[in-house]
Amino acid sequence: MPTVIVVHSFRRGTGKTSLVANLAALLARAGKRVGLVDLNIESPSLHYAFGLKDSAITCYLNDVLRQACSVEQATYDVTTSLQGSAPGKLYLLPASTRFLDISMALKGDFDSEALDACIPELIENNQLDIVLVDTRAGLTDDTLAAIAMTDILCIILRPDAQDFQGTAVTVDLARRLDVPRLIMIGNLVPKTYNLAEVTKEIETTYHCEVAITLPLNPDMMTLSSADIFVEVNPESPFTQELKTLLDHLIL
Amino acid sequence: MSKIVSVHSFRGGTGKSNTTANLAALLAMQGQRVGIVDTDIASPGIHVLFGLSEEDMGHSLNDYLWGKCSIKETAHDVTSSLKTGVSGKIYLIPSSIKAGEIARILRESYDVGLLNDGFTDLIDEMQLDILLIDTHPGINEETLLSIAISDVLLVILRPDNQDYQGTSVTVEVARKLDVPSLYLIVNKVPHVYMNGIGPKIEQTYNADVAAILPHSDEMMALASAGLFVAQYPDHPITAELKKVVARILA
Repeated sequence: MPTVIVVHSFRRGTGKTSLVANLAALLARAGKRVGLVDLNIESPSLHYAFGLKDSAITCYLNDVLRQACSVEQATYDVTTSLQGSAPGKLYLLPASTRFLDISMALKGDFDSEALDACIPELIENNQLDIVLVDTRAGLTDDTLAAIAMTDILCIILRPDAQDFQGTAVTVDLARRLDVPRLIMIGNLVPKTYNLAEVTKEIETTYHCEVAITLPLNPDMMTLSSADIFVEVNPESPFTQELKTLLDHLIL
Repeated sequence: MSKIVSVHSFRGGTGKSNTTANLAALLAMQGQRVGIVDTDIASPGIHVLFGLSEEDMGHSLNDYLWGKCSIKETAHDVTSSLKTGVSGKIYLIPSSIKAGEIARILRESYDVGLLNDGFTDLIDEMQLDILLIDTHPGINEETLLSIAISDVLLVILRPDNQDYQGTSVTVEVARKLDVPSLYLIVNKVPHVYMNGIGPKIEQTYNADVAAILPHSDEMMALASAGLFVAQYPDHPITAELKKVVARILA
């Protein structure tokens, strides 16, 4: 059974997109056929992480959702962006970075039925094992639609007072929507913090499973989101740490 | 003359709320009467920096937009959160943190024109010197309107490829809207990049860089539990932010 995983954070700047890209790379290395959907229609960037330039894109997820093209036309095989050869596959549905598309996407009523139809089609077309959906921050129509259809909801937060309070909103909502599985991820934890304590604080605040708490990685910051960390640094302890997350996601 | 200052970033996670809150604190320390409007309705957060809890939040911006109250009734005096006596004032207009209320305003939408009326009324009624607008990232209708009525637009960016691309869109829009003063603030700069980044960015956008803020472990460790400039008055970041204040007041 293919698994749909929605990755969300209430506040921005939690490292959501970067984590999605790195997880996707690790999953493809583990032999999985992975779909990526960029539902961060407000400030899309997932395709940059896989070296897919706007000039090479003819159809976006935005076009699919407004029924201007098929899912197949907006699907890009980005497996070759991984170094060497990976046993799995990566198929990406990018979101448009064009100014007009973004304003339209933010303004219009989100067609949740179109999204509900789009993901099974992506799975079917490419025989996928897993679909990762990157969302935009905050409580919005599009994110609600994604949460309502997911198998696993991953909520990322930084150990920051603004994140802690806002995340309660998403957790509350996920429970009301009966999400089958809710997983928390602590991210970008400053080095002065004790990781285990942060994990415990997240657990006691939300009464949820905390899959992993990751330290702020200075090497990731200087990577400037043009590369995928786990690809550039396959042997790094940080990469090994991220791999443990796969056990939580592969059922 | 009062001034409207919009704080914007194309991408999220640039430190917009933190910068806005700290600029407000510095302005109040200089005796200014400052208002802050949190227009980030989908994911509000700036109230946390001023220690305003969900329980203490009376009327929010949402209530005003629904016509339940006047804009004045949403203004929370958060000056005491600075912990030090200041001669100015800070009034915060928070967005609601209740899941139901966020969902409702997104579902039902609201009259964007009301926001602008609210800004003008707020300046009059609270006798503000400066109104800071913490905008929503990206470019949408609300953001365009806030930018259009601003005397000063502060655009925050990180030294990241994705930020560079989006920021040029914002700068272009601001030029078309004839914003009187436009400044860039570069935030969360890794130490290895600090050297020479200012001129490079000024050249890229043909705009003034008002401040370059290095990535700071102290800022991260504070984790929005308070206002950085109040806790670290002599820190280099505080000194950089004071440069921005000087530009705003110029």
